[in-house]
Amino acid sequence: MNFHKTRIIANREYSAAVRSKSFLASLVLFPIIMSGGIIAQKVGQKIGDTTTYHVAVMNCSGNPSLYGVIENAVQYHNQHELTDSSGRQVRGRFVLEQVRPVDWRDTAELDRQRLSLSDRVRAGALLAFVEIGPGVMNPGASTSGDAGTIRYSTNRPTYQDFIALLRSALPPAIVQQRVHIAGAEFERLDPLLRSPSVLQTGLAENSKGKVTYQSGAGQIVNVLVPIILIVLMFMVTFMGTSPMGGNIIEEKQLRIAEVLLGSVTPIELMMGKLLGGVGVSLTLAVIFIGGAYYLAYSTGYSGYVSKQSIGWFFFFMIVGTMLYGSLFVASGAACSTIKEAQSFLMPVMLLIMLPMFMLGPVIQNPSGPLATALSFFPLSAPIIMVLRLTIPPGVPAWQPIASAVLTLAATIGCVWIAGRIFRVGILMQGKGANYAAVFRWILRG
Amino acid sequence: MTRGVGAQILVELLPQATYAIELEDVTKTFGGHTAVDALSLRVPVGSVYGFIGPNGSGKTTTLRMITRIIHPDRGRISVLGKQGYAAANDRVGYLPEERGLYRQMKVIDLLRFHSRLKGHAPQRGEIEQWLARLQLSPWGQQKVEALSKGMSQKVQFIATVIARPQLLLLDEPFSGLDPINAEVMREVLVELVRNGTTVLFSTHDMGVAETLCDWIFMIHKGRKVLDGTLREIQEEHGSDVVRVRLDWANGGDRQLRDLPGVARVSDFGNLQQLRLSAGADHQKLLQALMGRGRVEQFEVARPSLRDIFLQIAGGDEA
Repeated sequence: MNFHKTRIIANREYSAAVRSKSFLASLVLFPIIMSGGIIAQKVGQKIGDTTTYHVAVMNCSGNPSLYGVIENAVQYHNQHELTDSSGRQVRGRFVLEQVRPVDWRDTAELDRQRLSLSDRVRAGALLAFVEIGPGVMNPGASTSGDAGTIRYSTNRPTYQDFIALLRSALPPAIVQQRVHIAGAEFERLDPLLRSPSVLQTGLAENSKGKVTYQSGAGQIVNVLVPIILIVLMFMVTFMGTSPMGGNIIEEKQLRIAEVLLGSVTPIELMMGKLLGGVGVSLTLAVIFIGGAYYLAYSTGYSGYVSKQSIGWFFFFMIVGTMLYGSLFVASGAACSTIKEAQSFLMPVMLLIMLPMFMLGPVIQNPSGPLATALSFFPLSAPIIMVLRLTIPPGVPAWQPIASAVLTLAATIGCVWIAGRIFRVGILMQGKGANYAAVFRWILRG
Repeated sequence: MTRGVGAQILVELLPQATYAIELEDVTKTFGGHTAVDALSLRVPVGSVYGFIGPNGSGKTTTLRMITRIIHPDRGRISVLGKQGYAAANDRVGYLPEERGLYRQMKVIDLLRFHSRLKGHAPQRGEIEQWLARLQLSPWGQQKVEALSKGMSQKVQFIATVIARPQLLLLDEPFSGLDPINAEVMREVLVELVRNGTTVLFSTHDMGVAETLCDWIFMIHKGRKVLDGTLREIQEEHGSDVVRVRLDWANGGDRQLRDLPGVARVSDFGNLQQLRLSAGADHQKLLQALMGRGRVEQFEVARPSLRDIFLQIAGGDEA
C-alpha cells in the first residue's frame, strides 16, 4: 500500500468533511445539547410564567382547617414566590376553589364528582383537583381504599409547582394536628419525629493534616464526567464515520470512484477515507475535550478525570472510528443507491448505538457482569470501557489493555473484510448486492 | 481476425520492452457473460492505438483491466513492461468514459489533487498553463458544479494528462465535445504523442480513428476482429468501393445490383455507392454503367473504416 497516496485521499476527505455544514453544526450543537438542561432552565426563567392556575380542593377529612393550610400556602406563594429578583413574574399564580365534599361512602356521588372535576381539567378550566380523604386525620382507624390519602389529579403531570407546594404544606400540617388530637405536645415531639439524613460522600482524604471529604458538587461531577465523555465519544465517532456510506454511494453514482481507481488501489482509497474520518473525529474530540478541560481547570474540577483516562478515550475513539467506519464503508460499497443502503446501514447504526441503550445498567453497576462483558465486546468497548474507566473507582489495569487488544484485533478484521467488499463493490453499478453476494465477495475477494 | 501482415512483421521485429501494453489470451467474465474472450494485443511505445467496437463489445472492460481496476480471469497483462499493480500506475493516465469529478471542489484544487495522486507535484503556474491551454482560465477558482458538461470533460482531461503519463488510456475522449473543443484536445494529444506518450483510446467516431490513429483495433462480442494499420485493414477487408453518379434524365434502368462484380449497392439518391466483389473488373463495370445511362462520376475508393465496421458488426449499433 502506498501511504503517500492514502494520505492524499485522507487529506481530501478530511478537508471536505470539516468544511461541511454538518461539521460546523455539530461544533455548535454539542455544547448546546450537553448544557441543554441548564440553558433550557435559564431560557424558561427568562420567558417566565404569567399563567393563573385554578385548582379545586375537595376536603372530605372533616377538618376544615386543612383547606385553610393550602389556602395559606397558596397565598404565600402568590405574594412571595411569583417574581424573580428584578420583580418580573416567572412563576404561575394559583387560585383555589373549594368543592363541596361528598360522603365517601356514597361511591356513586363520589364518582360523579370526580368525573365532573376531571372534565373541567380536560376542558382547561382547572389545572388539577385535590381530594383530601376522610381518613387522613386518623390513620390508625380502618379506612377503606384511598380514604387515608391525599389525591392530586391532573392531565399535566410534568408541571410540578402546585404538587410541590401541596407536599410541603399539607402533610406536615396534618401530622401536627394528629399529634395535637392525640393530646401530645407537638413542639416536643417534632425533633424526635425528624428522620436522620443519610449523607453520601467520597472517601476521607488527608489534606495538609486535615481530613476532608469530597464535596457534593464533586460527587455530581463524578457521574457527569463519564456521561459527558461517552456522549462525546458517540458523537465524534458517529460524525467521523456515518457520512462514509453515503459518500461512497455518491462517488459510485458520479463515477468518481472509477477515476480515482485509475490512480490508487481500492485499499488505498478505502484507508484514505477511514483515516479522513479519524481526522474528523480527532478534531472534534480535541476541540471539545480541550474546551472542557479548560473549563474544568478554571473551575477547579480538572482533577476529576485522570490523564490516563483521557489517553484511553483517544485510543478507543481512534480504534472505534476505524471499526465503525469500516462497517459504513462496506455498506456503501455494497449498494448503488441510498435507498438500497438503508437495509445495510440500519443494522450498522443499531450496532453502534447498542452501547447507548445499555448505559443505565452499566452506570448503576459499572463493575457488574453486564458492564464488564460489554466493555470487552469490540462494538461496544469504545464507549463502555471509557465509561467504566471514568466512573470511580475505575477498573483493574489489565481490563482496558485486554479490551484494547480485542477491539484492535476486531478492527483489523473488520477493515480487512471491508476491503474485500470495497474492492468488488466500488465499481459495481446498477442493482446493489444482497447479503449472499457480499458474503461471497468476502470469501473470494 | 489476425493482425495485418505488415503490422505483424513490424511487431515481431520490435523488442519486447518497446510495447507499452501487452495482452496475452486475456479473458474476463461477469457471471455467465464473457465480456472479453481470449484477447491478445500489443501496443508499441509511442503509437496512437484506436480501439473501436460496438457498444457492449468489451472495450471498457479491456481498458479497466489494463489500468488494473479489474483483474482478468485468465491471461497476462503487462503495462509499460510491468505486471504488478502499482509499478506502472503512476505512469498511466486513465480517462474513463463516464466523467467523475468532486462537484464541491474548486477546479484548481481538484487538478492539484489528481496530479499529486499520480506522484506529480505541480510546479508554480503549471495548472494555470493547462487551464489556459484548454481555455478554462476563468474557471480555475470556480467549483466543478459550476462547469458545463464540456468544461467538466476538459477539466477531467487535464487531470488525466497533467502528470505527463507515459501511457494514456482514453475511453471516448471526444464524446460530447463541440468541434472547437475536440480540436483543442486533439492538438494536446498530438503534442503528448510527439513527446513520447503512447495513447490507446476507444472511440465510436470512425473519422477520428482514421485520422488520429497509427493502429486500429476492433473488438466485437469480446473477441478481436481487426488489428492493424488503416491501410492493412482496408487491404484485408476492403473490396473496393465505387461511387457513381449517373444522369437518369433520359430514363434508364436504375437497378445496379445486377451489374458485373457488384456485391452491394447503397443508394444515396444522387449518388450510388457500389461495393465490388473480390476480383471485380472496374473497366467492365464502367462499360456496363455507360450502357445504363450517362456516367457523370465514377470514383474508385477504398472502403472507409465505417464501412468495414458496419460490415463486421452487422446490425449492431455503431
